[in-house]
Amino acid sequence: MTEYTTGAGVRLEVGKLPRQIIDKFLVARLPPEPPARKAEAFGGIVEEVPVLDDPAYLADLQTYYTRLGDEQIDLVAEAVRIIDMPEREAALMEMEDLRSIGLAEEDDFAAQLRYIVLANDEDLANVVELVFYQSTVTARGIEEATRAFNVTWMGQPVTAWHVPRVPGRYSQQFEDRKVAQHNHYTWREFCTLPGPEQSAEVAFYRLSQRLEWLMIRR
Amino acid sequence: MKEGTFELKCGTVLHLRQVNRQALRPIMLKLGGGSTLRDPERLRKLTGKAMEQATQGVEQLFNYCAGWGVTDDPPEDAVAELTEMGFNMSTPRLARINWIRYMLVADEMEGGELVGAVLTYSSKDWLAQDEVIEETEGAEAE
Repeated sequence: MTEYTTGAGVRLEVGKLPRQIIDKFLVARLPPEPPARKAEAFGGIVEEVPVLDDPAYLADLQTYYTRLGDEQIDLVAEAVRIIDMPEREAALMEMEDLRSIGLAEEDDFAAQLRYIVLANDEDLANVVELVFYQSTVTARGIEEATRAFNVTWMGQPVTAWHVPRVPGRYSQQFEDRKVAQHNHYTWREFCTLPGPEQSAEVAFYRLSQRLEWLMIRR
Repeated sequence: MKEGTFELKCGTVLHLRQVNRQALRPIMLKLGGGSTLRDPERLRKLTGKAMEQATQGVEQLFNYCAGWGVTDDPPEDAVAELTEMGFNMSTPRLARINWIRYMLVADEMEGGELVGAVLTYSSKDWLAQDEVIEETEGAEAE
């Protein structure tokens, strides 16, 4: 549990969610794909090129991010609790008004977060980031663990050495499952670890792979 | 916080302020996303549940912009008259919504213009770039 204070002075207790819920949430909300057009490349080969400035695609993308921004409030509401709220009476009155115009239900905590507590973009982003950090693998968690492990090769951080990239592409969830297998966890065990621990396992795996490659090359 | 004014056909000048973006998101989704605001004609082509949702969205958008995006309160005689007519005037926001809807705006078109004015102070995501009132705070004359 971590405490977070919003710009308006509301003190929140921010906890974690089961990572399976986050995975399910993200998998069900994949971004729209841009349309493709055929283009002739060098040597007469016809390739499909994504049209990233297609107006319909851009409109879909905007609607996608709007929906994601809205629905992530419902997601993180499960992990957030209000500890202290200045002007509580005014907030309750505002909720009453929101109910009157159909924007909130009775005892609608997600609506309280959406319209009052996390109404500021920065607060919302920070709280979502905190919930994710505590629940699953995040860039922040990986960076922190990488710094803490402090692995070097010939006096330089392992991450500073050039290591060839593999041409394959995969999602974070695929890498996490590879990490769980490599580090001898069942997937269920891996998911029960706190977010920073999961991230540390990923950092450990990545650094080990790099170190192994550098040692073989030598 | 961005602020501005809007003059209605009846001559009343309303003072506006930005409303929060998170609150606009679920309403905009009911309206079918930002593209609907840029091209309101899309609303007329909706049918069935999408049309039902959009109608509710239009209503909520007006209510939210009038109640939260306008800072003026109705005069006492207007409150008394609307209360007598049976409108809920129990809180400042609800009073503002009913006053603006039933006593000030001339028609749906003017209501839409008022909503548009509030949105220009609130979120450029929903409007075409040339409709956005850019922030000038801190700008210095050359």
